[in-house]
Amino acid sequence: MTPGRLWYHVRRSRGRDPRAVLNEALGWRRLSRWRNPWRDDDPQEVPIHVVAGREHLLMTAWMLSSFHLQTRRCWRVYLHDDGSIGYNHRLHDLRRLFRIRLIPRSQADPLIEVAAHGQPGLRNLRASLPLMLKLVDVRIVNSAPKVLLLDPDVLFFGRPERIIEWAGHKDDHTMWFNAEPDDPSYIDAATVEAHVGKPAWKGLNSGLACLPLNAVDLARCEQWLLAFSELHGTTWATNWRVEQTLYALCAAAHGKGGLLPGGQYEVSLRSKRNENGISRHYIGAVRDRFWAEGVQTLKGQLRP
Amino acid sequence: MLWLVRHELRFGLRAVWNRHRFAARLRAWQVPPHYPSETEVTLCLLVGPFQVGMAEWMLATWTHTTGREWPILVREEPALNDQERNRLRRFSSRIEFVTPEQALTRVVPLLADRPMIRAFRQHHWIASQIIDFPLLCQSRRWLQIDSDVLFFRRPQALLDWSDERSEQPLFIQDAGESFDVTFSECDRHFQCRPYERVNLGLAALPRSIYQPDRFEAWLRTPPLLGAVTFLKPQNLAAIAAAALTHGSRGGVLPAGYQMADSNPPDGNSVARHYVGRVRSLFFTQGIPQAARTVANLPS
Repeated sequence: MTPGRLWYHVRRSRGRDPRAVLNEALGWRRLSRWRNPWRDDDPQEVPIHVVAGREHLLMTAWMLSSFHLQTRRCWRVYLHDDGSIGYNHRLHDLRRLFRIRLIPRSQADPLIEVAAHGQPGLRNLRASLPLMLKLVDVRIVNSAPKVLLLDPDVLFFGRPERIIEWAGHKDDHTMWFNAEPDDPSYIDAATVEAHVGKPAWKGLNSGLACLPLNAVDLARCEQWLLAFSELHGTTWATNWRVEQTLYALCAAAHGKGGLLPGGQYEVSLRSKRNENGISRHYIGAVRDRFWAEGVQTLKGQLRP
Repeated sequence: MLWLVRHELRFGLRAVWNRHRFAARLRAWQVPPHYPSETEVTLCLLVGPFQVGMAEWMLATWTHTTGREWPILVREEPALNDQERNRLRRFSSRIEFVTPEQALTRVVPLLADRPMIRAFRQHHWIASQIIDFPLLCQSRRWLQIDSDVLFFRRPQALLDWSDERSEQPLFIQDAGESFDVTFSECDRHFQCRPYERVNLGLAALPRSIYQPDRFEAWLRTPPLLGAVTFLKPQNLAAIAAAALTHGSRGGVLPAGYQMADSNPPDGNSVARHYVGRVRSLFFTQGIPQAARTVANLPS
């Protein structure tokens, strides 16, 4: 480690919970001692899609470890590179642990250019907003009729029965999302209801989502994008909630499913997680708790 | 300087010793003038400056064990200098060097309406194994041999393939399966079961293996889109070979063509591919054995 790098780490660690600093620093080492016992089983039919960058690889590894640990089965993982991963040696560690397929940005781009030819608005937005990969790329890299969308900053502490059940039923085409106390949607419920003709899903968070892909209609997303940008006169490209808003519109139009119970599948800004919770999405302001609380809880469960 | 020392010592002291011990012999080796010229099949290599030494050994053992002079196409990646080119020129009077820039001007225009192939080629030079060779090679069939392969006995299977004008693709069989794809995915995306354990390090391929329309479509499928970049050419070849032969099994070189492991070459070894983690054995085991086997290497 160069002195400059060390200084960067010291400065970055100032004011952080010491447990978070330690757990993050030892993250790869702890995972390298773990052997995923379900790694070589037949993968589930429903794949997991994760959008991540270089900075999120370790979080992704812990998120996937916790999910495999709690579900006790093998999952196929599609890791959508936001463009920053490139050739990263940590991919070898991830591949050793999970059945991962990396979708390099350089090869996803031409695919999207062709496949989303009729949706220039979505394509432009995707080019400027990496979070849009969660919508566009997940829909176009058509790996299975249903997919599980997970953010790297989600951890599982209990068995997610609802998700396992959903994944196990081929004919279950319901949509499920994390529930957030504050509605992150860009458009108010009344407008959605008026436009879509069905009730809006308030408080939808796409950090954890069970998606039947036929419910994600990119052509309609393009229409909504045009309609609502005119309506609000705002720049969509600067709005990081746009992908969640589009998912909320898709969910409202689909109308089947709902939000996962917030007590079990937690998205909150509280410092402590719900002890009986199944998962927690460590959003923005509590991101450090991912390491200080989440990984601290899970590290003992990863036995060699 | 430190980097050079580390690079030189990366395979250990014995590797350095062997490399220098036999270097003079190798440098003195020439293709015997009585060797007939092969005309039908080209030998294609993907070589960079750091592989020139290994490529020399590969070409010496290949030429010696086949007893022929082969036309050679060297796809440079990155570009070689004149000194390095001269080291390879002595293995054939019909050797063509293609630099990355030349490849770009010759290959990319042919991929104008193939964005996925173009992106794959742009993403990693390894794609040249399956994209550039078919487009650059003048002959209808070619042998593709990595620089980390050594030949110890006459490669009769490859010579038969060459002489019989076979259109069946042939591959050395890998130690393990590198294509992580399920049967249901094969049926859904490729409508065939790819050849198993394909390794492109030593392969005999007809031009028909290059199926641009299908490549373009296959590269859009999740199993290939998400395949390990370095293994993608051989994954693509495994599907193309299966589609070409309508799923019939075969296309595997006999057991004498081996992926190297820690055991030394035995009496059955025709060729060994010293790939990845066992690359050091190329120098510690392979070169001494090759020097013994290739009887006309001057001592």
